[in-house]
Amino acid sequence: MLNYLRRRLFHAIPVVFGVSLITFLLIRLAPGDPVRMMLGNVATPQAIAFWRGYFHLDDPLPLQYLAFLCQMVSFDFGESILLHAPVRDLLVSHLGPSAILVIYSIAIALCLAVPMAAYSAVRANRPGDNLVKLLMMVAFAMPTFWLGLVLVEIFSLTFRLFPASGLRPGPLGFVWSLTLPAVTIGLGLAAVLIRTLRSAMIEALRADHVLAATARGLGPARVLARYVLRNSLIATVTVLGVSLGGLIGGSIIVENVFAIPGIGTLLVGAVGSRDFPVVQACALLVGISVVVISILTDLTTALLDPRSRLN
Amino acid sequence: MVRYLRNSRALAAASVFLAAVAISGQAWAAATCKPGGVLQMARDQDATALVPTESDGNGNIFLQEQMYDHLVEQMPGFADLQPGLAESWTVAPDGLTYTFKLRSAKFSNGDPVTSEDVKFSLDRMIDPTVQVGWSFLMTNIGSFDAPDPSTIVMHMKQVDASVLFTLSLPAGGVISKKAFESMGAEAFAANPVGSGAFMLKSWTRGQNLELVKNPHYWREGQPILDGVNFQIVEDDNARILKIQAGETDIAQSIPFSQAKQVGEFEGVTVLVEPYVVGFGVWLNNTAKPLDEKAVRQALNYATPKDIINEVVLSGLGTIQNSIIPPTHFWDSSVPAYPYDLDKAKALLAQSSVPNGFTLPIMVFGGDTQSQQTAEILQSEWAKIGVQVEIETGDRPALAAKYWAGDYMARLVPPSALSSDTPDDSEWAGLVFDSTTPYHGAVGFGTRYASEKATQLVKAAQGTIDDAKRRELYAELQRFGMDEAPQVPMLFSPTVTAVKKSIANFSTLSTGWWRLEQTCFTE
Repeated sequence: MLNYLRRRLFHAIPVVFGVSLITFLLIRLAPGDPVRMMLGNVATPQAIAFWRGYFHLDDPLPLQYLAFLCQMVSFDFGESILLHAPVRDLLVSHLGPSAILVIYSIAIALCLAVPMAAYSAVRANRPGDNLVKLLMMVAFAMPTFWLGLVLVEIFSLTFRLFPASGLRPGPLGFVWSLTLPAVTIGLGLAAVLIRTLRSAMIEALRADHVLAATARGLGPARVLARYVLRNSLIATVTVLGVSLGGLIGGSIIVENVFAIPGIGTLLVGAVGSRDFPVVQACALLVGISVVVISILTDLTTALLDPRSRLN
Repeated sequence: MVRYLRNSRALAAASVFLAAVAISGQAWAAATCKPGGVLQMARDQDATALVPTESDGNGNIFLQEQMYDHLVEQMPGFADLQPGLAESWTVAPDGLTYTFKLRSAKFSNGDPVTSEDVKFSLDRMIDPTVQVGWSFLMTNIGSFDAPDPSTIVMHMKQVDASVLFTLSLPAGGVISKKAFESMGAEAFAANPVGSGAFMLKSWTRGQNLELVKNPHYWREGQPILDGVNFQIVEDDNARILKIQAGETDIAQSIPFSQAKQVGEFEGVTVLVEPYVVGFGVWLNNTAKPLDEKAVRQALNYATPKDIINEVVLSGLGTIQNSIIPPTHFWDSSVPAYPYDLDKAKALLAQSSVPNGFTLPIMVFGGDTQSQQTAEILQSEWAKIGVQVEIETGDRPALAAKYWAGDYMARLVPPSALSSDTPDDSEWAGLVFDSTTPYHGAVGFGTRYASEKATQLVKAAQGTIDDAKRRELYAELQRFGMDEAPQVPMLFSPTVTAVKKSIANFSTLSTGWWRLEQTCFTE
C-alpha cells in the first residue's frame, strides 16, 4: 500500500508541474495588463512602470517562471497584484468555504443517491423507478443558478429557514449558510450518481450470491446493505471522483448566486483582472486537489474491491 | 435633483426624472429619526484599497468617501461645494492663491486635525508617484503651505476654475500624518485613520466591510447610525432576493429591467436618481472611414435612441445631448441627434463610403445590456449599409486593444464611466483637450483632436467667472455634438432599492452617498 502511494505521488509531480506551466503561459498570453487593471482608467505612466517593476512583469518569462517555482516550494505564492494581499492568505480564506461546501454537497448527494438508487434498483422498470428517473432527469436538466434562485425563493423568502446569501460567521453559521448552496450542488450531483449506482445495483441484484442469500431467508435490507451495495459502489466512486474534480473550481455559479467567497469566485475574479499570482496559485491548488482526489478515489476503490489490490 | 430644477431650462428633462422617481416615494428629512442602528447595504463591488490616493475604482472611492473628510464637500441637494474641513476660504483676485480656514475637527483616534495633516494629505494627492488616478486634474496646483495649525494655503501654477471640485475628490481625503508615519503604509492601509463620519471596523475581502461611527466626528449629532455593514453580493438577482428577504436595508445597482418589480416589494421603494454618466459608442477617430465627420454624423442619425431606451434601460434613461456626462454646466437646450435614416443615408452619400462599410464594435462579454444594444445597432445600422461585427471580450482584453488603438468602435455600457466630480472639467479635459494624451492616446482613447475644442476647454479652465464658463462649456457642447467623435445615446440613472424605514438616503450625482444623516425611522 505504501509503495503504491509512493508511486502515485511520484507520478503526480509531472502533472502538477504541467498544470502550473500551462497556466503560467496561458494567463500571460491573454491580452490585458494586470497593473492597468489594478490602477484603473487614468493611471499615470510612472505608476504603471513602477508597479510592473515591483511585480517583475517585465522580466524574461523563464525567470518569472523560476521565481514562481521557488515561491511554490516555500508555499509563498507571492502577492496579489489587484489586492496587495499575500496570495496565501487569500487562498486560505477562500479555501475554507469551498472545501466545506464540497464536502457538504457530497454528503447531501450521497444521502439522496444511495436510498433512491436502492429503491429504484429494487423496483426496476416499475412506476416507482420511473418516478425516480423522472425526478433525477429534471434535477439534472435544471440550470444551476436557476435551481439556486428557486431554492432561495422557497426556503429563504417564503419559509425563512435559511439566509438568502452570504456567509455567516462561526462554525454553525457556516453550516447554516452553506446548506442551500450545498443542496443546489448536491441535487445535480445526486442525479449523476443515481444513474450509475442504479445500473450497478441492478447488475449486482442479478448475481447468484444475492439469490442464494434471499433463498436462505435474509431480509431485503440486509441483502442490499451487505451484498449489493459494496459491489455497486465501485463504479459510482469513480464517477464521484471525476465530478468532484470539476466541483473544486467549478462551483463558481453557485458561489456567485449565494455570494459565497470560495475558490471559484477568487479564480474567476483573478482571471478577469489578470491577477497572475492569484490565477497561478488557484490553478495549482485545483491541480493538486484533482490529483489528490484521483488518488483517494483509487484507494477507495481498492478498499471496496480486493481484486484490484492485486495490481 | 435640486440641481436640475434650479436651471429653469432643464425642467423638461427634470420632469422625466421626476416621473421616474415617482416609482419611489421616500421621505427626506421630514422623517423622525431613531438614533443608532447598523445599516446593511448590499453592493456589487468590493473595495480593493481604502487609502485615498490608491486606485480610482468606484468600489474604493464610494467607501473612502465615508471615512475621510475633504476641505470642501459635495453634499446632496446642493449644486455648489459646501464647507468641509475648511469652514471658510478666500480666493485671491488673480485666482492663484486660495486660503482655507480649518475648523476644529478630530480624527477617529481622537487626534486633532491640523493643517499639517491637510498639507501631508494634499501633498500626496498632487504627487504623481503617489496618487495614481486623477493627476491630470491636478497639474495646475503648485504647492500647499501650513502657516499655522488652522490655516492651509494652496498656491496655483495657473488659474483653474474647477480646483475646488478637485479638492473634493476622493483623492483629496485627509489622513492623519502622525498615524501614517508611525504605522507605516501597509499597516495604515489595513487600519486607516480619517476624520470622516465612519471608521473601519473590519474588512473580510470579498464578503463584507464594516464601518462603525466615528465618535469624534465634527458634525454635531452625526452620524445618526451606529455603523454601516457593506455586504458584497455580485449577482444582481441575489442582491434583489436579499432585500426581498429583509436581509439588507439597501440594495444597489438594481437592473433597469427589474426596477418596477422591485418597487412593488412590500416595504421597499426604488430610487431612480440622476448620475453623471453617459452610455454610447466611442469611435476611433483616426480609423477610416470614421475620420470623416459625415460618417460619424450618419451613425448618430441612424441610432434609434428611444428604442434602445425602452429595451435596454426600460425607459429610465434620457436621450443624451452631449458628448460628456451631464455635469454642472450641462445645457439641456442643445439638441440631440434625432432618428433620421434619410439624413443618415444622405450624409453617407457625401462621404467616401456611400454604400456603407464594415464596423467591428468591441463589447463586454457577459454584459447583457451591452449585448442587447449591440444587436439593436447591428440591425439598425445595416439599414444604411454599415455592417456591424460584434467582438466580445473581457475587460482587460478590450482595454489592451482600446489603448493600443487596435479598434474601430467600442460600446461603453451604462454606468461604466462616470464623472468623479460634478464639474465639467474632468470629462471635458479628458475628451476634448488634445494636449493631454493618456496612454499615448488623446480624446481619452478616441483619438479625437481638435484645435477649437482644446482652446475652448483651456479657456473654460482658465477663468473662475462662472458665467463665462457656462458660455464656453455650452459652446463646447454644441461643437462636440456637431463633431460627433462618439455616438452618445443615453444618460442612465442609478437605481437603488431602499427599505421604506430608512430615511435621508440618496445617491449623489457622482454615484456615491453621504450617510451622516441617514437613519432608521422605526
